[in-house]
Amino acid sequence: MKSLNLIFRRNLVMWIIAAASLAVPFFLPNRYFQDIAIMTFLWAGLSASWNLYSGYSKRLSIGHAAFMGIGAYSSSLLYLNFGISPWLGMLVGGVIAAGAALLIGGTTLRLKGTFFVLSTIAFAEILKVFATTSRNLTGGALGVMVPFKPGLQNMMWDGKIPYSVLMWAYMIVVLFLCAWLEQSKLGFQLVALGENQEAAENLGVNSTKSMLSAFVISAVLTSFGGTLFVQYILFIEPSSVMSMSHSVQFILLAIAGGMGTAFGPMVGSFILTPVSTLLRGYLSGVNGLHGLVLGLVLIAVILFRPDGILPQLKIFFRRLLKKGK
Amino acid sequence: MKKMKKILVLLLAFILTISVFAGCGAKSTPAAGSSSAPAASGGSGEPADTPAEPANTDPLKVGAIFPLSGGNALLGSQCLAGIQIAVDFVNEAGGVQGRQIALTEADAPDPTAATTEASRLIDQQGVEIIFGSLASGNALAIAGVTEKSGITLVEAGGIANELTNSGFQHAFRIIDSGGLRGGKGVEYVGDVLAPMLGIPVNELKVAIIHEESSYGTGVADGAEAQAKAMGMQVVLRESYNTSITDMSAMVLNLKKEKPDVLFTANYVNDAILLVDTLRQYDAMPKVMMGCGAGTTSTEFASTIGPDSDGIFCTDMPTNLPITAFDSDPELKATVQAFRDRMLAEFPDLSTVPVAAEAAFAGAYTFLHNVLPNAKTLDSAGIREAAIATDVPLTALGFGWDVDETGQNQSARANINQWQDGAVQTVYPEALKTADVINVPLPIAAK
Amino acid sequence: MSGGIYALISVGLALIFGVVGLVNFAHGEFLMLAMYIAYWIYNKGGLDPYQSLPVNLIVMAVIGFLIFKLIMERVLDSDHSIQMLLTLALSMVLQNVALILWKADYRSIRIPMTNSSTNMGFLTLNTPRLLAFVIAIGASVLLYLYLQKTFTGAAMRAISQNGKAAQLMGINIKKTYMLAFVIGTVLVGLAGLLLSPIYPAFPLVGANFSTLAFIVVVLGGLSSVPGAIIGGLVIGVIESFAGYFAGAAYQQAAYFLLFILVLVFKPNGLFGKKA
Repeated sequence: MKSLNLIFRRNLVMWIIAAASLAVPFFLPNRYFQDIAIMTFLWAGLSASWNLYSGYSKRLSIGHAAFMGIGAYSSSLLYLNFGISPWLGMLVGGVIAAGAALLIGGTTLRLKGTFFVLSTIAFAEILKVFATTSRNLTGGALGVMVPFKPGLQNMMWDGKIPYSVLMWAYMIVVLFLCAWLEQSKLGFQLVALGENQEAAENLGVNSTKSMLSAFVISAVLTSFGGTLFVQYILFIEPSSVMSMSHSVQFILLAIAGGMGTAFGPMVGSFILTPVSTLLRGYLSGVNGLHGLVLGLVLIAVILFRPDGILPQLKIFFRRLLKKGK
Repeated sequence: MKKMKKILVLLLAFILTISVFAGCGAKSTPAAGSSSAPAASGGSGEPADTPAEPANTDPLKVGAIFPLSGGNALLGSQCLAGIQIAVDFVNEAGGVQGRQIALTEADAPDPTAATTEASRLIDQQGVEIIFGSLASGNALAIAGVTEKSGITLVEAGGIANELTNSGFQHAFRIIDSGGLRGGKGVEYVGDVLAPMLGIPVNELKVAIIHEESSYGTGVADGAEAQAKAMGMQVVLRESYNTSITDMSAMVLNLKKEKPDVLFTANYVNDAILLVDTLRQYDAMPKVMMGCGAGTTSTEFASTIGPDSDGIFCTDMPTNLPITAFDSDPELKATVQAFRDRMLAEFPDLSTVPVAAEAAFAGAYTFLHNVLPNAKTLDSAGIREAAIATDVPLTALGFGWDVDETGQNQSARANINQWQDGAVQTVYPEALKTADVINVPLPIAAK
Repeated sequence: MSGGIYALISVGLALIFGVVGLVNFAHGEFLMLAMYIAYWIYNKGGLDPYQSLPVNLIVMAVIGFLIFKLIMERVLDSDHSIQMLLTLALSMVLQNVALILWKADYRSIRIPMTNSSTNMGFLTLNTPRLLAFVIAIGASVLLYLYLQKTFTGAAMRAISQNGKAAQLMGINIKKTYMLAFVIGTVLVGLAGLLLSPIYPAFPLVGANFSTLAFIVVVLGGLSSVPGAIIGGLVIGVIESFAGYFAGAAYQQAAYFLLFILVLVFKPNGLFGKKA
């Protein structure tokens, strides 16, 4: 119980913001903004899942979209071929993702720095080629379209609100696990390994075991996000769902918000997802302008706020609270 | 306690900021909530009971979603130009049922962005009709959104079969579906070219090379099925990712099999690379039958130069001689005006790109021929009109005859061939602009 | 044959990584810029890429210098993840600048040589590819000699082996970093130039090559220049073999697979230093 208390106490303001954000979609004027809110929650959850391993251990995986693809394909193929509810499919996807993570992690986690980063890209690409070429299983490049049959058991709804609640809940679960991790032995070990692997190992940290367990948790959570993604978009194809740009998105959000902090990815997503979506929406007059602006903003953030936005935000809130006293 | 209060204040401030932010966005398009709301919300099936107000002169909002950044940006922006011209033409002629048309564009480099942008156009901008989408994946993603909102999707680019066999009520496709196009190309080879080559159809060796996305795969499936049905020998089928940088290995494989005919479906860059590599290894088969996108693009021929003479490109009818529209002088003038304006806007082009012409034709037919027949300009009224309307001739050279699934039954593919740097139609006879040349290709391997 | 170009792109990347310690995800975008420069000189001035070589390389050197001064210099001491993110953002900016300035059109250079072949007795090769191969290998070897034989080269090797010690020995770190970055940029520029007669320029062209270059560099052992040369050649061969025997769809999967196998058995790359 003490640890539970700690989890919430430590980031009280952030928890309140996270909890309160559930209310936001209800106040939004139309489905476009609700759609942005849904994607914001989803990306926050996915990015936080990525952060759970890569953020704390400082070992970037640029292949996490593969796990997202595993989740999306598992649940939708089970649903389409056997009528199995996506809720169950999501769990199956999680099991498959865990298996894949064990396999990938087993071979790559002992690699150092850049070797690891690039090996994750390689695994994701191989998986993408597999999904594209095994047409009998995945429908190949044609992708999979999930027919729209609203209902709780199908994890599909007519309106946007149920989706926003679902995505929010997903985000909260992942955030909770991250916050729990921060307090746990595993979390400390990860951070220690990220700081200095040799020193940590000398102090008796079983690096393979702790990294592998965090990697698997992270992969499973990402695959859950993949299921939610396909249930919302209702269409997947390997070239988009497993693309490196999805993996990069997880990373961008986490680093912009603050990598290796429980709430960094959430802050990153709360700011960047709406901004980039609105930029794309309202700057479509000049092709490429939205990407340019987003890129420049990111460069500016990195050059002037290399720790991400979250630490700044925390300082800001602390001052605000102090002033009031 | 005091602390709690402060947090509460903070929280309120946060929510306020967000809703103000959202509110600002909404304000920029004042009409989003008012005029279009009934149609948008009444989409669940029942015809929205908009009272017959003859005085409705609000602009009719339509949207266009194309990839304007990312890998397909080139074809996407050409399509958007086609849509814009169609809208301008209809507006100059007085609009639809007395209402001017207002076009909003959206950039969708991938299916995820396509769903968000569709939602923006529908819920934020209040559009009633969306034109799209070039890429099949985007078309399917957009259809998922438009269908829920009861908004009409007019597709003139995506050829995935699922768009019209998934039960969508409000998606209409003016062009052919992928399988059809591949099949047509094979049919022509079997019926016309095989005798010219002096090879019996059942001895004709066929290779299929296609890019691996849904477009290339769909075309290739159609071609392979038809080739097998006609008894041809499919000696090779290979697919590749459009990011491929070296096709040597694939071409060497092809060379080993010595096919007579190559069927291929590509985008622009890879189509050029394929022909280049075939020539470098002296592996060009006697007939090269491209199916749309890459091989039909003007950049294909302008880059390859005179060697493109004789390469086929099966596609929707395009760059037809203006005399093909003699039966409808008004349409003839429109098509001519469209081509003139397109070439004026893109001085680099020698002929109008197919994708743009199809986009134009889809939008123009829908706005000019279909919508005036709609009793009400809501989803139910539009669907009724789309199915009931029967146009003998559109800017694509075939008619508009949409069935219950939304597929245009009059759509067909033409067999075209590059001749002197221009696309000439060689089949069907009625639309023919030139005789077939270069069978077999002069650059074919000896 | 593509192996030569892969090698040249990768050598630049390996040099920047080895000396500056920077994982440059915008490397492919420099390739793209050089291809555009070659195209515009050809289109407006009528000079083919081989004739415009000096101008192109000078422009690339200036671009490399400016980007280093304005952006990279500020993050030299930052965390690796920050540097990676920065180069990712930079590649995003450059891609979109290209899209805005030059549209998405494919810009091809067609010179008579494009489809000519050279007969080498037992096999026939496409001339620009052959030329690219020869020049690429030549340039890589020159770089290798430069690193081995000159003082600045020795300084670069020293930094790549032990930055702190090198500093203590009185090597001007910043200047050496800058030089390495500029040389890396010029090398990838040269690769782009050699590529331009056989492959069109478009905003995303760099992405088609950069992942590959990373694979090559890791295969070669990250900071090893000769490793990158051999890695490039190996990947070129693997790609061709896989494409020929397994099909073009597996071309890319094949070298990723090889990559993972190598890492499993030789975690420091084929030519990596022992940890």
